[in-house]
Amino acid sequence: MSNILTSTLGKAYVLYKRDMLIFKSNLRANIVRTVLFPLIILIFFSNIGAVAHNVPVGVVNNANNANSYKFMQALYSASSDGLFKVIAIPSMSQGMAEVNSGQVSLLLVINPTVGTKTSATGIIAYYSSPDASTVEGILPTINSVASEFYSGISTSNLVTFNSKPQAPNTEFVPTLTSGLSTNYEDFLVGGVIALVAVFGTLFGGGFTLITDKQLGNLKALLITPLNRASVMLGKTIYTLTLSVISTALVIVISLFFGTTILMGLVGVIWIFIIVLMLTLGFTGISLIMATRVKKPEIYAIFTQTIALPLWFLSGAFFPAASMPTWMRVISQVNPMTYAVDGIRDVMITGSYPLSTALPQLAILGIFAVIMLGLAIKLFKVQIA
Amino acid sequence: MVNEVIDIKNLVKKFGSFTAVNGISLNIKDGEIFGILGPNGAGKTTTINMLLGLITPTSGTIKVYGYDINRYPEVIKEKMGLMTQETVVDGDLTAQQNLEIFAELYGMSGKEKEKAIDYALREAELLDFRNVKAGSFSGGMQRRLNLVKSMMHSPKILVLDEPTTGLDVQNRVSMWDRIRKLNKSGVTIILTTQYLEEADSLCNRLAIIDHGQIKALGTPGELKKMVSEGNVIDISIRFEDIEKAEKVIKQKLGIESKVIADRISISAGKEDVKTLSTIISVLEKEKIPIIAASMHLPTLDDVFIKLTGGTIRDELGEQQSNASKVMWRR
Repeated sequence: MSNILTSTLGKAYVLYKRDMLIFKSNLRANIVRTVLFPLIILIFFSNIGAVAHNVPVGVVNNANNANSYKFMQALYSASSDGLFKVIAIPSMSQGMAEVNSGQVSLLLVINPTVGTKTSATGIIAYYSSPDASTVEGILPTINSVASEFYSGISTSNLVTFNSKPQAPNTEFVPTLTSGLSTNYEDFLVGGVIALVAVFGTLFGGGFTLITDKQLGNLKALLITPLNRASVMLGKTIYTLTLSVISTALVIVISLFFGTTILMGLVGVIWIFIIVLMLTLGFTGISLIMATRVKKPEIYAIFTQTIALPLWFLSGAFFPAASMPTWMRVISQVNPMTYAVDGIRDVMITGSYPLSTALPQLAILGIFAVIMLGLAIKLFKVQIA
Repeated sequence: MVNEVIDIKNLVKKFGSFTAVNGISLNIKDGEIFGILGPNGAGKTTTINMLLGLITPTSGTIKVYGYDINRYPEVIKEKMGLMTQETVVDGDLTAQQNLEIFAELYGMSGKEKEKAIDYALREAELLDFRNVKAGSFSGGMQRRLNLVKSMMHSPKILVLDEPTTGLDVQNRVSMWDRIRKLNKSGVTIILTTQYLEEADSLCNRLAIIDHGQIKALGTPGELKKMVSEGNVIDISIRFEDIEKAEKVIKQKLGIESKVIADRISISAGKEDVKTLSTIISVLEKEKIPIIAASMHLPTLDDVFIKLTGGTIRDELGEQQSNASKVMWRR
């Protein structure tokens, strides 16, 4: 038994080595291919910074006078555009806690001096530094609401913004997993990492298997003392390697674009764990396809048909919360959603407690087990 | 001592309703070059795939060195090598790397591996190209690399699936020399081919397969005798006259003939040179113009056409390649 295992592992390693040597021999093309996609996405989409959506704005009304109510009314009606949403918060301390925890991106505190013709500040706004770019996106609107309503008072006095460059408290419970509280580029990177990994996967082991089949290599390999487990294992390890390489490249590129990973180095490790779990499941899909489909062209069409919709429905481009109901249902059964959510928690909420990580990784794990199990069960090689 | 290295009995393979191989039985002897001939779609490749354990027969048994390969598949892996129809080398890898992968798959390592690779490179006359990517090799070089690659584990039986298809004349002749040399060193060789002169010059024995069945089995000489003990007379006639000519020959001379496209083929006795002139004069009397006439010893072409008919089977070939969705499971 242990003999078979050693031999299987050994042969799998030889097959892995072969694929890696081929990969290495086309290194430049392979890297360009891996880098091109995230580069294009980030260049084009990260500059569309104004797409902040439903940014939560907390309001603490310390004035409780007619002017303050009118101001809040005006805020509510301005929020109907969907740019931000207004949340009334009973106390200053709770409001600050919510800013720190990321539950609201901006906290407006209405002082009793509001609307009076004194030089005292009427409204103070608080936000934490990770949210700066998002907040900047909605400030002009809030300013114009305020200035319209309090005409006659200089706007500079009306709203002052205190930046709070305080590191976020890592013990908070993140409720903003769909990235409502940050800029779009950071939001996008999580999705791009997942997509590049999945595309790398689909054009990894499965794709080499199908080209091996087409070129006749597979037949030559199968004549040697190989068993199917070593073929599958070799291709799987190769695929995982590719996804590690592509993830590393995307992270480097996004750092270059100014993205931050709030959890730092630990976060990078988490990202790799999430990506590997996601990749495992998609490796299963790619192996099933590769053993069933005859031509690489057809394989490419099938895999893109699977991967692109899953990507769009994973909340990679826009928050799942903004999808119509039927899409949201699909997104909830889409394994990519959980990977994207996890990566985003690590990168932009800055917290990935085990209570969040374990269920997400469990879902990815179940997906991987099902897909790899099916791949083992359905593995047939057509040598035609 | 087993003289028969391969023993195939009543081999059948069905793909759905299509029967690719229909009851083939044959023996291959130790040290011979055995040829499998047949038109496209005849079942050659399917037979070979079963022999190599790549697909499971629907029924029938294959024994290699007396071992049933269904029960002891590892025997095939150890004893048999295959050079596929397509030239299979990894173009992105160097000659050395190509061989290394196969040596390692056969469980070699260290000095043993290095020795085997050096030997293979020398045999393939590729020592100088050791670290050159195989993709930049000429067709002949790739084929040579392919051949030594399939010999990495020094198999006792080597299966060559159309070894010279696509090679130029020089490379083809050099490949024949290599095959003969391998055979002399004690390797039993099984080859499929479309080239009849290749089978004629290389094979000790051959089987002609059509529609999944063996139509004839024997040495090239034996097979040629099936067509005619003596000579073959070929007379080419305009297509529109051919039926008339056949009738005339039968009525006036009582000779049975066979129509193959635009010519009439007649088996003649050993020293029956007169027959040719008689036929020519009869046809001339009937005002049937003769385009060409010849008399020669039978060739494998004659055997092949007699057994499989002269019609082209491209359609069937296509059908077979669709049907031979070869599945591999273990």
